[in-house]
Amino acid sequence: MQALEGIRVVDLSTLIAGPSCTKLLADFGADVIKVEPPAGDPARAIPPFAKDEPGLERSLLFLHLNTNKRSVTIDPHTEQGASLLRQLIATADVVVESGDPGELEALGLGYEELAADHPSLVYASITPWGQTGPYAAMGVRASEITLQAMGGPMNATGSPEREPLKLGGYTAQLQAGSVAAYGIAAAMLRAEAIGEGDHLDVSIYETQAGTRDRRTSSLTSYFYQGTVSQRQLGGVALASGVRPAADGHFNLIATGAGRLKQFVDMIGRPDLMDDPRLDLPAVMMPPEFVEEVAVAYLVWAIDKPKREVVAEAQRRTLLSGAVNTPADLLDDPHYRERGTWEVVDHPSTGPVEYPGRPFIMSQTPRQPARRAPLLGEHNVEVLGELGVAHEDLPLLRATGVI
Amino acid sequence: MARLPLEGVRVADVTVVWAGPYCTQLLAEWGAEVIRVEPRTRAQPMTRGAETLQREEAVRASAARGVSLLGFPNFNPLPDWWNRSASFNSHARNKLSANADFSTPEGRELFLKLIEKCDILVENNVPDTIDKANIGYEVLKERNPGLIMLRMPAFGLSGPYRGYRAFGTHIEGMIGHHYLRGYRNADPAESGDVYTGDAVAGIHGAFAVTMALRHRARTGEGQLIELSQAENFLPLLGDFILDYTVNGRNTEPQANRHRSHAPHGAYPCKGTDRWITIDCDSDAAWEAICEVLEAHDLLADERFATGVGRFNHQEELDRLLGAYTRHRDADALFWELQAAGVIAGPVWNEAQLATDPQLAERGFFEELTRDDLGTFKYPGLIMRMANTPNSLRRAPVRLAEDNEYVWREVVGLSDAEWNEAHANGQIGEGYVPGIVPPTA
Repeated sequence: MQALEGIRVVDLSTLIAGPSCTKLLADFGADVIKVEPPAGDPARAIPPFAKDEPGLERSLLFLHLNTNKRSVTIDPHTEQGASLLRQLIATADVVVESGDPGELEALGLGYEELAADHPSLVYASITPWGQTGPYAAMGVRASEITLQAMGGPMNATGSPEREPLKLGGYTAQLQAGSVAAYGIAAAMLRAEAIGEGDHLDVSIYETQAGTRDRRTSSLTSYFYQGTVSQRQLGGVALASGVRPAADGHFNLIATGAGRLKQFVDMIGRPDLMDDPRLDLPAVMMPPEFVEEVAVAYLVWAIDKPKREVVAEAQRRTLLSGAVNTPADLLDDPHYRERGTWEVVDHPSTGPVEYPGRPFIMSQTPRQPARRAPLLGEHNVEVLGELGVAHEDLPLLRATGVI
Repeated sequence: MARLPLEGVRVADVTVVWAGPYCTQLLAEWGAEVIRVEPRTRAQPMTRGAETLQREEAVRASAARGVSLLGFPNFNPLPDWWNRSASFNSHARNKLSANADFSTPEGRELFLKLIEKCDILVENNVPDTIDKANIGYEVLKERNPGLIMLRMPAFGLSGPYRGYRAFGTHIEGMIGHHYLRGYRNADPAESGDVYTGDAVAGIHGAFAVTMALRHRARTGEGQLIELSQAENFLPLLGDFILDYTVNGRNTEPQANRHRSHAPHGAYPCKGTDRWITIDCDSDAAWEAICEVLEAHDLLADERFATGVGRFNHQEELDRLLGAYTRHRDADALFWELQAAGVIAGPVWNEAQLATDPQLAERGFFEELTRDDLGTFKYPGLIMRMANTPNSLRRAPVRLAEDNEYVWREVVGLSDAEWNEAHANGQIGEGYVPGIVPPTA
């Protein structure tokens, strides 16, 4: 049995945050019906593409974010489309949407209206600013980088001598999708217990401002003592930070006298293990001593593969990790041995490896992923379940309803 | 007040540092009774404060360098730094705390008695820590068959890196995030530390145990959930990974670049360390950017006339654009660009975020008072539920503040047992003598 078996989700969301939320729900057993506009979720146009050829079925981000879902094309802006959607939602437990605040209300698909007939419905809205507040009302435009800039830890990420850095890829939107998945699971628990659903309001901006990638700690420090964080120079401490190895870089921290002893022994200077200068606080260490250790460290590491450096450091219980590239990940024995990757076969790619489970549940294991649906692949199946006659489909298609 | 979704769920929390505590923070926010079960014999410096910052001058010196992660009220960690650190207190609201000396057989038995009364146990220690204490899932489920146990090791309960020790920054390296988010053609040391994996592990942990609660409500069955923090983050880099597995492309560091938009990045503004981010998603947006900045030469430059042209010349474009933005005020430019329909946003630090009208109107920051700490604002909830109005309910918890409730009411120790546990030092107000480093 899967964790979310028996739950049906109508997914009206597009692009990244909403679909990443429903991917989590689908991957753990929910029946997710992805409702796309007849032209397709605009995420289908986001690069990279399979073999770098654009096409509706070729966006690798789309393929990844939409595993285990069924796709139907329904235009909610047509009267008949909106009516079909209301019928579909009547069979569902959860709705996920990412429209501008008020957009779905205008189509008769807002929470209040739907919940009137369907009180246990859990309805999640995932938007840049949330449903309320001045930025939502003014329609302030946002995207991954601006949300990270305003809400996230961007001001403290990178070098003080250069521009602030964003986090990789679509981290903010994907993280907000995960927050929504948690909220939906919690609201479902309540709905299944007492019969009352809920309207979840997730603001991507707030998931950044409230994230424990430093921001909540730094904000609390600000309220406690009025100080703000700044970008820091990397790798300046004696035995802390990123250093070069033969085939890339690694990151290691050895603080405290005990760990520093292990550290100097590791880098081939066992003679320094009992050196009293090692016991001094870092700022008190004589510069020539710091220089001597730093040089020995660089010389020791530079001809060793980063994976070996890390293995050696870990044998000495020094906290460390390799700075891996995507190619390194796919080649890494740890992920190989654990079965982290799963093979998904899609007509645009053939069988290829995807990142698989985020976590492993012993009693409700995640099933192997089904590939992302083709645009409208399940129109006949899903509309058939709603009782739409097969012979009516051509007309619905011709009039742009599906 | 409406019933919160996790009301009636009790969580034993033996988490450390960041990822685990974020998970239990999210559970506590939505109604779970989260009991931090804390050792009397270890001070857990990275969890309850920084080991090197126990004096006011050290806190001030660190803050002056722009390290503002580990603050204290009015810079003062004394007298009990473990109850005062911003890092701990930012997640410890809504939680309870009970302590005991779990290193003895009697202490272990106390822990097991508590587990019998809990629905969930969350931990994120090195796997050996749990094994050595002999409190693995197989052991605990004998005492509580319905228990849901969430384990969140850095790399996993199996595999070659099972015992590897790491902070978030080392995990970020091992999952490719450090490399991919770095500056182009630069030493990855320059891109600094981030801990995004900690946050996502916390969120996915909360999602996982909530699903497990549903399964238990339907079947009565508990379970073990293993969340490898490294593995957990890989799906967030899915497009980079598929670009490799499908196209064979080993993506270079991306810095602030977008896969198709240009200009796209952080541009300098007037003042010290002020920046604006701009995401140009169309020709119309490009024209609007040039109009707002009065950059007539850029608008006339044929290299930048099309999206492809801008993308192919973005290094030059970024340099030229920065020469215009650096004379503008970041916040004023934000509104001018938005008014012209351009996606833009200033890079904000904590002070700027704290005064943002959007967060203010939504009540994001909430005030909490603790007598010994004072009244301060804290970052609040990251989602809202219309039928379940919610707010922060309790100030950050002091070590062992709830001993009486947890050990007497929840576990049910008799007067005699309670007195004996105190007499022999099993349970007590603070750490056992000699554990906490001298603070003066």
